[in-house]
Amino acid sequence: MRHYEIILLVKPDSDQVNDMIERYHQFIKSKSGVIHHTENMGRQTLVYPTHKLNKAYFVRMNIECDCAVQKELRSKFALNDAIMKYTIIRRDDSTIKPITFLQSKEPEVQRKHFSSYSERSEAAIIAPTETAAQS
Amino acid sequence: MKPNFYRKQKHSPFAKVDLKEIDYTNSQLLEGALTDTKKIKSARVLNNSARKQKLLTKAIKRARHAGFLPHCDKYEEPKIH
Repeated sequence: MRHYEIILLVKPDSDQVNDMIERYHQFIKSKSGVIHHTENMGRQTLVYPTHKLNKAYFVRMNIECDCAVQKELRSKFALNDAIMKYTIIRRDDSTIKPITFLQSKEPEVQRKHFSSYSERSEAAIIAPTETAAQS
Repeated sequence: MKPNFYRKQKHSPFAKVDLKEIDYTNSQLLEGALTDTKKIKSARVLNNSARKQKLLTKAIKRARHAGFLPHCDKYEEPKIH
């Protein structure tokens, strides 16, 4: 049985996101698959507009199933009008890392003008900065 | 690497990253590897090894497709008829 990670972008108008997820759960279970983790991250503004919309529901699923089940899921996602985008990634196992996409961004560290690279601290480099806006 | 006598070695934000996989949902980390026009920076600029750069590009392209990162900096606003 293979492990897959699925990310769905569902249209923001649909109110039946949880029902849709449950239907897919039942389909996977009927084919002797295992669902390790599901997450409805809620409505988020998209980084780029898709299907002429700026917002979408983000759904993430970690499942374990056969290859044939995964292919059927793909065709189901493609036929579903409410799903704008789907990505299915194969994994070695179903360990889950928390998604940092949703966390609020830390305040940007202003980069000072250093005379030499050696004076830079690592913290200033790791945090995202926008030097073009400042320069 | 040859020692650079004119300038100390650059510190890369990806120096402490696992070599097995880079999390593609970590958009804060991956945004540091994009230019202003949201292109992927080169390994020379980021001071990355070849293996690390490959993992990075794989993660960025996955994130772009999944909707966590942009492909470019300017998108046309969708026209609603």
